[in-house]
Amino acid sequence: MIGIRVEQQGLMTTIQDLGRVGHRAAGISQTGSLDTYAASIANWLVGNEEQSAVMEMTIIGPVLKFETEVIFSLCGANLQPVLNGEPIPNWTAVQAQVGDVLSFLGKVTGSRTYMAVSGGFQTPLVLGSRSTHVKAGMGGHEGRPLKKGDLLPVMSLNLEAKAWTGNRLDPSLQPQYESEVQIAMLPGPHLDRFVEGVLEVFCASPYKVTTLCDRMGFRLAGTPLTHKAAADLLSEPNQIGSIQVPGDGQPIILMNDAGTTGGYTKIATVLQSELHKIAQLGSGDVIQFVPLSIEEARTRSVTYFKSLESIKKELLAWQRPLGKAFTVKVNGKSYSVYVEEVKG
Amino acid sequence: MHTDLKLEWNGEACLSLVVTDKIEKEALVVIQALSQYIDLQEWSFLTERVPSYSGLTLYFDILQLREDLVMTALSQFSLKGEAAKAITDFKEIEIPVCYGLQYGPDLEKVATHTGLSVEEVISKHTEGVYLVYMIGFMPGFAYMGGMDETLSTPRLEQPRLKIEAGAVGIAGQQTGIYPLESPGGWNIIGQTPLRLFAPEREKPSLLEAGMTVRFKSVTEAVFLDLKQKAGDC
Repeated sequence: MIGIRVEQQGLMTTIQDLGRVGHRAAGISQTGSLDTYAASIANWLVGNEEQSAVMEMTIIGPVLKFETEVIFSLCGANLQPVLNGEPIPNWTAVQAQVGDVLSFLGKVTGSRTYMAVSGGFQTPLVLGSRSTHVKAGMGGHEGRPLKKGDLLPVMSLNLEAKAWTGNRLDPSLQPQYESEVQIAMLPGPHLDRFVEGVLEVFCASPYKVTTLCDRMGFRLAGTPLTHKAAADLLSEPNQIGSIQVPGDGQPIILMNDAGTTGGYTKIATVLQSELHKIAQLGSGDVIQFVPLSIEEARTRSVTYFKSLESIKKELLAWQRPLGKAFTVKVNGKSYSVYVEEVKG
Repeated sequence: MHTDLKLEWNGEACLSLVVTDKIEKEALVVIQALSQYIDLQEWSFLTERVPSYSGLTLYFDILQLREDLVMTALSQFSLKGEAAKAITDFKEIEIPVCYGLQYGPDLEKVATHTGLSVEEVISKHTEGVYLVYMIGFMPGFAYMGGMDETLSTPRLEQPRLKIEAGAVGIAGQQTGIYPLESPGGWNIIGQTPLRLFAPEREKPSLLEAGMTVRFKSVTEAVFLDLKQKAGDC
């Protein structure tokens, strides 16, 4: 089996794709990449469809050794990637040779980075997805976060795949990860379980992300949101982005690995098109919630997802250098070289 | 039960159709009918539908969503009409359980707390007919109703770090089965050899909303035999 070897595991590194859809009624959480913007773009840069499996890295990146030639990209938080000690750009398709080592100097902004490889990681499909469901111990690589010694299988590279090298996302589309963000949400559905004026309080106050933030949820701290009576109700289905409020009045944003059902009152739901921003927040970052009507929310999200389709089209239309490809050996090392005819 | 369907949006892509705010069998029947009605619509933009205690939650593909079609279909579904013609044939499943021994470390505790004998706890638990209202919390975990109130026992003060998959327990007025190894605070009275959750199976969750569950007491020998067979499939 050919692949990429984990030399150091990083903080929380898992194989993810766009999640396991269609099994919530069986109690199976969707899981999948928290930042689908970065993960999808990472895939398109190397010529993949958006649902190919990627490696999600969190804050402290892993150290990876390439045991085979790979075209890869890193999108999302800037963890300062270096290949054999040399800095490489994010949001760009890069080629690695056999024996190359990828490591990270440390996080600058953001929290999560996605590594896509040409053809996608080839871990087994479980119920139609390669996402890791850590709680159930299934999917991804052996159903768990990566650790030292793991070998992640990839597809062997052909000349066509190598042509994606150099594909880059326009800098204007590369997000700036701020430590204070505005997040659009749809209020409800349990507003009537809270005291009057709770929505005004919720939107007027900044909420800080606490250290208790992970793939299941982001616990926030700020002005408490007061219930009329009990904080819980009959357990009911959750949505990714549901903001639940337990008895202490502190909101929790449910994310991809949260249980499919829960019994705390929900004050609002983060828009699907805003989730990728939540994914990049870390402890100490601050959120200002902005309420939208259902019509505004729908328009916002439709616009966002349509813009993703445009980005996809452009990235997959990457014009490779015209001409012929050769493998050239210099001082014992092999290089892929494109030769373009000079006209005129 | 409400007189009309209440609609609650959980964000722009998730709609809960609320039928009731309490645990009631009448609502379960109507929710099953609503599920079937939604399935008949064959909406390509519907990605998930999850029955719950209180209703049915739908998840949509935002780009494909046709809200007009949804509203039209829902306006034609009558809660009263469905409640009136409610049929109560639920798919029944029997769950074999080896009670006590090392499989039910809290069986004695439940007996002491309830003032019943161990035999009485087992017979009351196996006499019950349990309705599955919802699967959630973890893969294959069934929220069931219908446990005999006299069996109620509060959760452990200090949850165990590890409870085996297949453990059958009581927590407050609820009874349930752990589908996966997990930490937990339920009183464990026995264990089933059946796999409540198997990702490789066509239906990964053994139980689903709308089923009726009965427990059957089996000996350790039968338990071990069934466990081996369950591991093979």
